[in-house]
Amino acid sequence: MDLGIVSNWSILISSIFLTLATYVSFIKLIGSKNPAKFAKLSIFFTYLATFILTVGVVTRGIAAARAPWGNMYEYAIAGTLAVLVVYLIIARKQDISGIAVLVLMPALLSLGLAQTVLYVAVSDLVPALKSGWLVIHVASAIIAGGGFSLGFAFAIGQLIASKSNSNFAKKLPSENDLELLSYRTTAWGFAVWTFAVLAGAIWAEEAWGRFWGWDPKETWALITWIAYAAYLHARVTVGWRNKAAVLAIIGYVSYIFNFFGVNILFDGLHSYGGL
Amino acid sequence: MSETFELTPKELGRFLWRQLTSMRTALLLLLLLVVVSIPGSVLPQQNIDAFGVNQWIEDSPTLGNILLKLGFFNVFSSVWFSAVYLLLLISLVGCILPRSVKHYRALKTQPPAAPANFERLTQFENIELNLPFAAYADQVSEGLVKNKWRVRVNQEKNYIAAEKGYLREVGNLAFHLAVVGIILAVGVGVLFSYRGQMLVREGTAVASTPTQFSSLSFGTAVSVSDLPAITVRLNKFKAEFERGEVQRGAARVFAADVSVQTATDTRDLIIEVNKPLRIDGSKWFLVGHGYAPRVEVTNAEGEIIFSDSVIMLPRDGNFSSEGAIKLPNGENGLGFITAFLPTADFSGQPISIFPSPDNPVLLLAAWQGDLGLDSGVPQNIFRLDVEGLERVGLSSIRPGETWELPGKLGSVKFVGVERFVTFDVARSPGGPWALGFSILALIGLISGLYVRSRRIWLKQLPDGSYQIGALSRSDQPGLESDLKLLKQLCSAAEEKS
Ligand code: HEM
Repeated sequence: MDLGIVSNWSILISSIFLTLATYVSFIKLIGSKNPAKFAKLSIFFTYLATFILTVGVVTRGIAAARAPWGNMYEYAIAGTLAVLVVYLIIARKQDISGIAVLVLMPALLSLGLAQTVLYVAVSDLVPALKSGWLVIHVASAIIAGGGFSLGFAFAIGQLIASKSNSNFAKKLPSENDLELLSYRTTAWGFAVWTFAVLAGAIWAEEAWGRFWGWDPKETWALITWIAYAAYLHARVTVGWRNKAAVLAIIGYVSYIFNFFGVNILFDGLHSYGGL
Repeated sequence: MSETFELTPKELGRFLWRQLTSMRTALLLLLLLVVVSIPGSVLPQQNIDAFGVNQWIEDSPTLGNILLKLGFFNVFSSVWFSAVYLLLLISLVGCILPRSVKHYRALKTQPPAAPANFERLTQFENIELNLPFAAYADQVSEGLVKNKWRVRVNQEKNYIAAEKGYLREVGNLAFHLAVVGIILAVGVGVLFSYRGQMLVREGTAVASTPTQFSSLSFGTAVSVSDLPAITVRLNKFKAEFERGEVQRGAARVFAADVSVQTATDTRDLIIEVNKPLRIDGSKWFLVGHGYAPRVEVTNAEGEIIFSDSVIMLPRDGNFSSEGAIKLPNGENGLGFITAFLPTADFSGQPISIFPSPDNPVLLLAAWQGDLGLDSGVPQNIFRLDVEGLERVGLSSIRPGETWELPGKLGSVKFVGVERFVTFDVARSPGGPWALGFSILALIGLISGLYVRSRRIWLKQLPDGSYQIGALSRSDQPGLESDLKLLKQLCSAAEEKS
């Protein structure tokens, strides 16, 4: 049995369940008679999607005989998995079905992009990536992304809850809850991101002889880091709660840009996208 | 005119200092740092991509030259970038030092008194206790101390105050100080670092002397004499590329088999991409490679006038490479513009279609005349300037083949395919310091974010009833368990009496 094929199928099936989960939570939002049931159903589908996606990521890793995050396709898949896992962990403790769509839709988009635009079949790595640091550095960047994604969704929810009186806004958790959730996920992501950047610097020293060289990827990693540091400060500045939320969104945009934009637009030492 | 608006210089200085070290300013500076970093990733930078910079300026000279003057092609060492981060650094120090002093004092004094009104606290409740305050005081405070709280008991005003989680602020301060440390380590490290690049052909050796480097730069505090005395001989370079359909041609294995000679010994070892050679405080990184075909040129009399491997610079991912051979001999000099194709394809323009030497071909264009090498003007060794030269002919040959030059000028033999590698040689002594501070920053960050800092109180009101309350100084949950502990200690005290 070709595990690469198993991986592809798992990811496809996972995106079908993710579509269902997104659809159901959307129905719940626009007003169903039985919202609690729909919320449960959405979570159920999300569990299925997450489980099958895990199978997809793991089989991909086994098929390639290395950590399954060596090119853009693989980052996108593993990154989506990280987002879903963080989402489910929080959903176990707290009802966040109000913002489910804000998490599931981007996750679905990312899986879809991965399978269409970014796809590459299983292949070996270029020598520059053959290092134990790949596992540590990239995995932590991906995990941080899980926290940032949720922080982003909560920040958007927070802004909607504070600005709007629409029906949608009423179904969200309270502004305070959203703010706190956004902070917790983002701060957690920030700590992991700090580690990721640090590990990257050590790796860069090992591979290229300098910790920091202002390569576009490095520059945007730092921009992301500073944007989030600014967020943490804005949050404790009186009267800046919504501005802080905007900063969390800016931080997220630069995180995403570092993934898509930098890989595609700029030519640097980090050109391993595989496109 | 109102006198109140006039500031003495001292007051003004103090005002500015306070502004600079306020969190709002730090925040704005952080945002500003983001903004000024962006051009550094969007525009080509001189230290990374000098070629790209020239290209940019050639394409749009007016704007290009303005941007060049303003430092946009050298953002990270420009005046304005440095200004922002230096201000941030000052702001940081100015903010952190007073806070450290304050926290140190807080560690030496008792937890703060119970507030008059518990309703302002994060959480509070009335609890049912029946004994006088003195019956609880000792037991409860002992229990709290056992649980690592810092405790203050006031027998006149009938309250117990306790605080825990001082490591939060310690962590936060350590984090900020470590950020200062990282910036200093990097900045000072640059003064003591050097960096150079050299090309080494298979079968040849290079010594780490300045003339052997193709580029070399030193920090202010080091000089040529700090280069270690090392000779590196490249015995063999192994490169393998993907042959499957997926990502065909992508690099798979690079390994340089070298003999390294120091003052004391000689060692054979392999340098790979993620495995630099560390020796005498310097590091040798394998950063590039290419082909150096071995060529033999014979003159009209049949004498060998040139026999060596010739470095050709790769021009694309499949290693279509270019170079030049120059054999000055006054008016009768010979020059060749050379191209090497490891896997040649002649279906269109001659080009290489795979990076390995599967079908190696050497293309030569021969020119004759005064090469001008004696004129003293430095020349690019990879490029032949054909102005004033006379064209002799064109040919393509494979390994082992010989091209008889037209007009009985001699012959050129393509002896065989050899390779060269590029090494970056660097020392960056700030590294370990930066690493140490980074680890401190990470630990500080985690404890600054996750240690729960909180205060709890037990108080007897004038009417004899009791209240407990808690104040969270972080955004972490868990106050319930603190209040529960307080209640348990009270009931335990009650049972004992
Ligand atoms: C390079 C500049 C700076 C960076 C990267 C930075 C980063 C951070 C980060 C990541 C945090 C949250 C983590 C933690 O609580 O340990 C934080 C918190 C804090 N920073 Fe900074 N900071 C910088 C400059 C400053 C300056 C100049 C000030 C003072 C004016 C300052 C004051 C604070 C304060 C008071 C907190 C605590 C906020 C809280 O209670 O959550 N920071 N900083």
